[in-house]
Amino acid sequence: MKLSKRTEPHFRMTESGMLLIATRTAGHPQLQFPPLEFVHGDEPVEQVPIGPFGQLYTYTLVHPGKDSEPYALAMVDFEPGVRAFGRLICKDGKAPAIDSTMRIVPSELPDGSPDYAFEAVSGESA
Amino acid sequence: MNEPKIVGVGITDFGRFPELTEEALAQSAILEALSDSGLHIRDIEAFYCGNAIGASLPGQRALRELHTGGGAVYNIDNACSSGATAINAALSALRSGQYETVLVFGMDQLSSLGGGPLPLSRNDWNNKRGMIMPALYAMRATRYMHEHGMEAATLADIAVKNRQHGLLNPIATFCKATTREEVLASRQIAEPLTLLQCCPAVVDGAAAVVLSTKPSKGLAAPVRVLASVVQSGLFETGPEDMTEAEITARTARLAYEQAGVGPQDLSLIECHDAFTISELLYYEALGLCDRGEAPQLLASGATALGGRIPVNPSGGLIAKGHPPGATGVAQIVEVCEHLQGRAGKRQVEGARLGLTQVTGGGIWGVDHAACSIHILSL
Repeated sequence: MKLSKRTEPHFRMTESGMLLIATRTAGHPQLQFPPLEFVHGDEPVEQVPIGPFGQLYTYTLVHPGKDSEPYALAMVDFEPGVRAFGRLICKDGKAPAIDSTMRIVPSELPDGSPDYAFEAVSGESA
Repeated sequence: MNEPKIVGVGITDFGRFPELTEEALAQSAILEALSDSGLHIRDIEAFYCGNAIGASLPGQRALRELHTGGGAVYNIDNACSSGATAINAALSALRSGQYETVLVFGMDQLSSLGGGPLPLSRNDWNNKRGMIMPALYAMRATRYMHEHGMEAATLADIAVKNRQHGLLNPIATFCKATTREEVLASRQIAEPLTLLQCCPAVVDGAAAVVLSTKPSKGLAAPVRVLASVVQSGLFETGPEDMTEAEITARTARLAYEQAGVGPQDLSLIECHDAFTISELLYYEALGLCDRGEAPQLLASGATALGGRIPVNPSGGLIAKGHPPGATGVAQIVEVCEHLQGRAGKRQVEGARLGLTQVTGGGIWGVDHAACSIHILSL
């Protein structure tokens, strides 16, 4: 068996902003985000940065109940042909309009590990 | 080899029964199905159990005290499609000649889980970031409203229609009549979906069917299975259209082809209305109308009892609740009862051909993990 776990992070900070890292292989040339977690055999894995800007495809505001704060989720489309899911930051409690230009911003998972979220570039509330 | 037919059906009340167990509920449905089929449990050569939430060996746990003859038990977990997938597997065994008479049952008891949405894998990429099933459907609804100009009131009207149906169904034990205003004013779950637009998650229930290639000894006419199709989700990481229920449309195409019928031939449908938006998306995926026309189809009354093609005459998941292992089998029981003319006050008059559709699973990268469609007739 030749099976290896990739350890590269799924995002990268650059001067132009935060990027997500998609992957593809010769056998599966469609870009994939989240990136491949495991690699079988010796097939090379290409890392392709996506972002920093995308378009909001859809969103929702989740109300988990009286003991937890509401939170927002979004699907954001990036060139060239990648849709990413993640937390949505709503300024002043307002979700951005669908098709708004979004950027990737630093965030954290509930366990405190570094992650990403999406935020409207400016003034594009629904 | 004779054609396998459904020769007996059984179903429990769907409701909250924390004092019971899923095994006891399953036994009740199994005994009812056996009585309906005129068969004894020792006539059953193999058992297929759909169960999504329970612990290991669900089928053996349920059957232990029914004194089977020790035939094979196949336990099948395909999330909300578990029961329907079990029927598909049982039909394959009957058609291959492996068995002549089998029993399929589905069961789950959720009242012991304490409420909230159905539990999903915590290791899933999306779920780690807060995805729950209502949120996935809410995002579909948001996009559908954006693309087609649908109002939130249309979503509410699905909840009203299905609860009106459910009031006629004696097993929908906690179904209550509701209004569009009450649906819209109920607590937000995942905007735009409110509480009354989500199927009750804390529900217990079981259903069972006996299938046989032998002549029926049952109380009612045996039911033919013209199509039985199970499909799995395609891995998609690109900008797919979330307003298209791709896996349901694909499964339906295969089922119509297998049955040699089309959507225009159907008398009734039981579909997976886990959320109000689901039923609207499935109108289009099942070919009842073109893309973007589901709100108009609903508004026309065509999908209500008395309409051209009643959808969810049982009340669906929204009125009955959704014990996921049982749902797919319960849909089959419902359609059988309509075809056999014993659906009581909710009877679809002259029902000749019925379709059941159930999806299953929330994992990143696929529309749904599973979809099962059956087409039944006398």
